[in-house]
Amino acid sequence: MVVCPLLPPVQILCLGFVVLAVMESLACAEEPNIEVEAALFDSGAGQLPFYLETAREYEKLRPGIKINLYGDPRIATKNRIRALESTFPAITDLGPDYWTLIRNGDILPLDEFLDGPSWEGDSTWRESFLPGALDLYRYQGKTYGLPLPYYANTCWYNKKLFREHGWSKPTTWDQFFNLCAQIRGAGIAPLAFPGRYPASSKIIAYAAYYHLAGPEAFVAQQLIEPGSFDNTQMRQAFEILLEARDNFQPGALGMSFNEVHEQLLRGHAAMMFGGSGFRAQIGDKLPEHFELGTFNIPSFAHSAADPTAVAGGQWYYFVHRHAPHAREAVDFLRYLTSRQMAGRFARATNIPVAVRGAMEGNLSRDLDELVHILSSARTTYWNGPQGGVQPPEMNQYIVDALDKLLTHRATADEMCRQLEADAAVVRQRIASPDLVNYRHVWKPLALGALVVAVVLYATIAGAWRRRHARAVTAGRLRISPMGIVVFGGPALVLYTVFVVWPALQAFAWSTQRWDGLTPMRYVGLLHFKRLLFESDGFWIALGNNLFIMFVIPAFVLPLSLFLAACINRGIWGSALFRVVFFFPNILGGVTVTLLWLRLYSAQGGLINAALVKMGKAAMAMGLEGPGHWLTGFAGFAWLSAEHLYWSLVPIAIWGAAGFNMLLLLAAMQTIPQSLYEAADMDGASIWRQFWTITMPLIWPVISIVLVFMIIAGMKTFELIWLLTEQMPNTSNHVIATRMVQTMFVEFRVGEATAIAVLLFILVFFGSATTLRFMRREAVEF
Amino acid sequence: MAHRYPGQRIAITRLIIFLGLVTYAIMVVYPMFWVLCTSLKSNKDIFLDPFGLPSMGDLQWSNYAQVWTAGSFGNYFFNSVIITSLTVLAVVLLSAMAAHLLSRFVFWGCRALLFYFLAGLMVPIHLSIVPLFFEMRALGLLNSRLGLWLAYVAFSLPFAIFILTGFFRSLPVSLHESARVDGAGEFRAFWHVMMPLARPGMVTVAIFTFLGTWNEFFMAFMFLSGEGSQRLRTLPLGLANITIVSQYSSDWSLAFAGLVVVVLPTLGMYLLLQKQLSQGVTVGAVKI
Repeated sequence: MVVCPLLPPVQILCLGFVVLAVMESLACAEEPNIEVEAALFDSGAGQLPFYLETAREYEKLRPGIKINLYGDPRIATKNRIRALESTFPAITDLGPDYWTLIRNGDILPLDEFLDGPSWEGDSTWRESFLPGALDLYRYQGKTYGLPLPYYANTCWYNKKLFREHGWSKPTTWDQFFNLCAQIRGAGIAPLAFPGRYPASSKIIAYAAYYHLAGPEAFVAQQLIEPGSFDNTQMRQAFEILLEARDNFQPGALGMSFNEVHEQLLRGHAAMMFGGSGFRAQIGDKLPEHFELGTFNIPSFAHSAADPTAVAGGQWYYFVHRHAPHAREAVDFLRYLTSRQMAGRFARATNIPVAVRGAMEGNLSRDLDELVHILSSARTTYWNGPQGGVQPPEMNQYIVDALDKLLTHRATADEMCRQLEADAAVVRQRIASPDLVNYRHVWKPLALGALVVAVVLYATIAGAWRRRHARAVTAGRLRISPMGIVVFGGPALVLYTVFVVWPALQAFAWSTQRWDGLTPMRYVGLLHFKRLLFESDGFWIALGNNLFIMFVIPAFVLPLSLFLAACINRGIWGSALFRVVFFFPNILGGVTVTLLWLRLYSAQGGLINAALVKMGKAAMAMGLEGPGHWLTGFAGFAWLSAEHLYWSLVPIAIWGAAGFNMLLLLAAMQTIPQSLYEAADMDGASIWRQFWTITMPLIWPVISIVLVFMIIAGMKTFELIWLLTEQMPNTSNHVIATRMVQTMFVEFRVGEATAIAVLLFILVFFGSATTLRFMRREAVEF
Repeated sequence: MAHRYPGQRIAITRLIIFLGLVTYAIMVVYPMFWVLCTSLKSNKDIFLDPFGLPSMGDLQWSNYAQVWTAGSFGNYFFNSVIITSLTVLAVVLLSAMAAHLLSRFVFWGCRALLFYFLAGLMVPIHLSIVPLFFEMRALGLLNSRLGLWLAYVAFSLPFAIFILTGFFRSLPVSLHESARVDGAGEFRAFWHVMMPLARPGMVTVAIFTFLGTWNEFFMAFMFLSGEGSQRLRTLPLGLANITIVSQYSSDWSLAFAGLVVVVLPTLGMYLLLQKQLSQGVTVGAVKI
């Protein structure tokens, strides 16, 4: 065999390599002496420009030090990855579980520096913070976290509306609910609420529990001590939440933060609970004549806690002890938290800060009430207990409980008992991490049996085919080993190195327990046992995947067939339709999500508006029944956890029908016209022609289309992840979101890879089974 | 073909179907129109009247200027063009060679090799990303275009090989054989005879690789996040930064201008090449 001396593909690849390598080398910059790396969270409220400006000014003051600072809304994920390879940036503020790091001695204690002078030098650094601001991350007498922004949960309200109606700010829940009744009486929704994040109702339930049960009981609940959920105070707290829920705006359960802000600012709702970042988030979008006010979350006439207490806390920076130049990093933080810089932070972001004397005159006037609440507070709660933290698994249980309460699927009493039982499970998990409760038997057995059956069938059928169908390779040529290497080598090497090898490594992790912070420990098949035999969440997620895999194709496939058949028959404008129907496929996932979020919006979304309009038209025509049904969609919460999956169907049709139509159409166009002409002569109807000619001939394409949809359904991730704002609850997870959450949020690497292994097995056998059952004799013509 | 529709009833059915298709087409086109309109509105207008048309006298073209310069989309755009074009080039070439080998020749393990490549379709990307991150770091490929390019090429190969193997199988054997008989080397026969024949399949692969790479976020996010990578970032990273930030602070006008910048090249590419798309994908997918 002759191989050309200079192969064009090799040339092109080398060219690509050289182009990129040259660009890299040009991009390299000279190294400064000391470089402090800082990876910080940026919510887009103006933090990052402030941080960067501060870093540049600091570099001028301390020549020879370079602050390599970057920020990102997703910095948590990046920092957790850095944790996996144990090379932390010197300064971080979000990502790893800091309590684990503190206990391991990986975080630098700051007391030595705090007892020294502040940047201005007029007090110690410690005294320059607001009282109590340094308390949270204190462990065994040492301080580990440095605060700057001050986040507090309060109730925001429409001040002008309150003044016009003569309503006054409530201090107790009784007053609050009386106020709600008055607001309702004026024809306005009392409370806007972002129901797509059930977790945000924690503000109400936790605040009520804190004031009912007192600070000690509150901390005990955070540490999930026995009896801290199943008690009278918790029941009462949940009752408060339920009463608040009855004052939510219609459609609140399908709303996002943005929509809630919009409802408040447009005067459709009078109040909302939210954090002190709210003012920064709305920025310049505050309508003219809107007056913003805020009051502290109500308490009780006989509160068991300090009524001035603020439900909130500070945002902390941490210095990693083993990072290079940790001490220089502390010096930079001293500059960052100086009065001048903190004041500039407040001015730049409109977020309160935890530094004395830095807020005055630097926040906008409509935050005066908030500053008053913060500066007169004697204590804070919320951020968790000192010296420990709630186990992350518990959070998911609490969010699920809140979700059930908000959607009328459980009573306060049921949820108290449920959470107590959940807490017991979490405690047991901590006490004996290797114990598995065998709760599911039939589902894993059925799954196993299915896999075994497919393997057996494939083996037998494969052997049978090999014996009977040797002809498959008959028309093919032989090639020298050199040829194999030249043609297949580059692809094989790249694919093995960058796809297969990492995947195998990940598979190996599935038998380990690893949080990325402490050493790996071999646990055998524990993760698999727990997922298959104990976890409800895994089976719920699998059920959701099955919904996507089977219900959605049931809508998409007939529609794609219909569209393809219409265009194939040459309906007017078919050339244009063919091009246009594919459009949704060229939009990326982010665009699609942004769009459908807006369309499905409960108040002011196009879909609800259109349905209501149609309903009114029907009523005008005298169709009372359907008219009522359609107008009932006013404020319907499409994206609430209950309705999410059925709401996916239109999105999926819209997104997938065009692509599948393209495949089916191309297959239809290979069918010879003579067949239809012959059928016409025999007087067969169009319908009959479709079933007896078109369908059998395009059957192989239909089966491929189905396999594509099943693989896609099994791997569904982006849509759910984005529509649930990256916080699905147990009932609307799919397997892939569960994997990503376990990996990047809960940070249990071993269990996440175990989920991935199961996902791989399911995809593999799912597509193999479909192909086998769909296979028919190929029709030749 | 009108002779197949005798009678008035069928004409009415046809009209109804036509109207149905027009409705569906509007549903499909409207979002793009909406994105375009929204990108020309001010932040406050987007927030208070999301579906209203922009006021014609006050079109906010400055959104584009701002996203291009202050949002660094000019820079992102350049990076995306480089990395996407090189990826498409390499994927089309490597997968065509591999597909030629897998479809045309018989050798020990040829079926196993095909299935080895196809298994890649089922590997969830989120599974291998963390070990891959370490591997890239060990190879010194983190925060470089080179590393991202290699990863993109590798992850695009399984689907490309899947489509192209089927496509090469549908090509006639005789041409290849006669080229060999005429004394062309194995490679020359591939390059001058088979490749030109496989063009529709290769265009299909090019389109899908383009769509996948141009919109790819997760790997770019992982591999271009550290030190010195700011200048290397691609459009999806820039877009995600403004849209994710929008969850908190909502600078919508910039986000939508950014969306238009991202979508336009894809739209152009699709309209240019769409004729060959359907042919390639169907033949490729069925003949495997």
